[in-house]
Amino acid sequence: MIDSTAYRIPDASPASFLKLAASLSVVLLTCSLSWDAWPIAGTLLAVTLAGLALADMPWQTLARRLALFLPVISLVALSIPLSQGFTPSWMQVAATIVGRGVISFLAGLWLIRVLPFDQLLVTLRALRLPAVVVASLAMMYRYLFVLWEEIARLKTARRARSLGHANTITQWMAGVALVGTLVIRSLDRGDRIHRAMLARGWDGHIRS
Amino acid sequence: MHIPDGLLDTPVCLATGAVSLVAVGYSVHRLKDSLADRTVPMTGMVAALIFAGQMINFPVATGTSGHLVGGVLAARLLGPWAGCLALTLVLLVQKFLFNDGGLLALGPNILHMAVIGSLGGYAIQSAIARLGGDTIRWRLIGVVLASWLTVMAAALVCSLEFAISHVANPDFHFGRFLALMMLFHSLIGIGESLITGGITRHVALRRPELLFTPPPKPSRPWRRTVVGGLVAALVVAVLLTPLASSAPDGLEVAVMQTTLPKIDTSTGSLFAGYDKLLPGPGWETWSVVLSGLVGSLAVFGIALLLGRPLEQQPGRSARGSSD
Amino acid sequence: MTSAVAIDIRQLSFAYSDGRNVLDDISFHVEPGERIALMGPSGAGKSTLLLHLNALLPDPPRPDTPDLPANVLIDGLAATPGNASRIRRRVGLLFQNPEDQLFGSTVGRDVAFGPLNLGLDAADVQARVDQALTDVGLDSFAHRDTVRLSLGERKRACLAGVLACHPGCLALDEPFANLDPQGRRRLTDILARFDGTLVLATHDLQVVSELADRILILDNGQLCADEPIDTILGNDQLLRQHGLVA
Repeated sequence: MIDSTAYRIPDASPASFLKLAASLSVVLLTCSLSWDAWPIAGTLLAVTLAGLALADMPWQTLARRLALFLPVISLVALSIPLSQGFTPSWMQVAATIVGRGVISFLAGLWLIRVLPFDQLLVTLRALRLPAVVVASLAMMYRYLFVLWEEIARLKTARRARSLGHANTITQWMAGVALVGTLVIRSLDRGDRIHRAMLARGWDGHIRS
Repeated sequence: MHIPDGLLDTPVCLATGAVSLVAVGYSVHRLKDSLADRTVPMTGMVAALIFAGQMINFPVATGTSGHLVGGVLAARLLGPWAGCLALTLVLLVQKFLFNDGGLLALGPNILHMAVIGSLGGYAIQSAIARLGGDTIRWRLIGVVLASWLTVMAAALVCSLEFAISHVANPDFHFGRFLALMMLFHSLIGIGESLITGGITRHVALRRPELLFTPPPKPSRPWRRTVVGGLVAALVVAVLLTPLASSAPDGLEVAVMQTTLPKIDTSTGSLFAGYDKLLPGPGWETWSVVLSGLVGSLAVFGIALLLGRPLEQQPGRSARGSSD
Repeated sequence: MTSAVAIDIRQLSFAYSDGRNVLDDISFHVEPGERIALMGPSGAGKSTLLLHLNALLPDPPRPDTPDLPANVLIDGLAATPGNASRIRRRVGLLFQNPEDQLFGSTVGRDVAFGPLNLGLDAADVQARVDQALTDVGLDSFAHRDTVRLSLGERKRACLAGVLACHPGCLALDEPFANLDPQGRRRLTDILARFDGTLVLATHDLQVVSELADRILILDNGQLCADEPIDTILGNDQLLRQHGLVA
């Protein structure tokens, strides 16, 4: 039978606030530590990894995402000794950046894992984020994957039309045309959605 | 440009976060003036669009590719307030759905991309567009210039944030860091100009009414002067700051004077040898000036090139602009 | 349940700003509870006409002055900006693409959108959501994500969203497009049970013969025929002339 709470947006659970706070705390702590406090950093790393394990994060996914992140953070960190000199002190700074970055990244992974997006929206609303912001976020989320699929389709169509290997200029022009087409389609779609909202009594007041 | 956590000092993140909060909060407040019922669907849709657009690869060299940031684009489509909100939404979704970018770093990231990129981007492009009577062609010129300028401005602000994060470090050569940042971002800015300009041109050729037109307001000529002045000041800051001080080290001195009596600038830098090649101000200054000059020339060139096929017509009114 | 509405279209003409999709001096009347089919080739102006039934066109709307004659009247109410919310409560519009209309995150929340905008309290909203989902056969779908629905399910969810507003008239824009036979059957049965006024824009002759009492043929923005269903369906030449049969 029909759930009597079918349409109601659930209230923000206390757990959600705690999860946000926990993630934020780990990040705050990690980023406030100095180089000598590496034992604490090690503890935070262990705690975060434990949290990920408790959240049933698959190790392969974790490894894969970490593998994508490490080069990025390392490059960013290395830019400092690059401009300031490869001295022990600057290498230390770079290492600190990598360490902080990795632990914060893992804390972020944990948060995504344990706090589903719609729960996050509810929590943000409870934290007094304006209704128009949360509603726009929800709308964005709703159509994100639709647009993604649209891009995939446009890319396939373009690939089917292109002959041979494209040079950089052609690729740039193709990319520009792709986004340009997406802009027009998305704005038109936004317009149609707006009409559909008006048709069902929408006047700009977000009601729940 | 998606700064991860750990790069900037926590106080810097919190301070920039506070500024971002005020700016975005103000944008949300100003959104109440406009068509309230269009905000949610259009902002949500453009945010989704910018997010998707940021994923498109624009190959630069083997292995690397550039990406759209989209602040100026969002502002050109939605206006300043909704544009700022849209970029903020993009950053929030990137963080909370894909773990892209830091949590504390949301402060600086929103400042760079939503506030400077979109709010600032709108101010710059609309000021420039109005110089030419707000025709489609001049709007495009505005978009191209604003794209480069906002990237440079954000890089400048980021460099300052970084400097403040490392102000306690005696070995930090701000000039050197700034030079590299500006050089690097001058190229990124050119990319952003090309991409944003190209997209805007694509839309302008087919559906010019989709480019946001602000509702007519009583003309206040002093406002134009103020904005024009700010734009000029920004250009000056971006291009000439290193020259304003006698040497890049002058900046370092200014930053360090409160903390340390002695500055050692002779640490084994990668670029030490260049000092001998270019007389006068150090290589850092030259690279910044060069990046500024090359960037400006390239960007003006792009603006002219992209603007050529567009008719010299007054900007048609966008839908909803009569409301 | 809102009682069935009457529709009056009087010398309605319309052109988009770029000259597209003109409506040329259209006039017709629909009695409360009548079921009409709006047929004609693509681009004839059917969608444009339907948008007028919800005061969504002209956009931007014409000024709300009393001396301008109203071209569209719903139950005697002129479709002007001032009457927009009342018009939209009487006529439930179902758009062509369900993706544009199903903007809630879950089916339940999307269906609740209309009743919430009507200012109903929580219990009433819930009751309407439940009833609408039952009517379209999506009883267990309240918590389903809108992103993960089949086309048929999406169309029915959109219809539920409109039905939850208890309109006196349903105006549907090509609801049967791209539906498989089972989906078409389902939708036809749901619409057959609706006891308000029905305005159905469609190409589908089979469905029309089941659901409509009267057919209006629109071609190139002009109303070419307005006859009882048997008259039109028997007239092969007319159907062929306006591209309704191959």
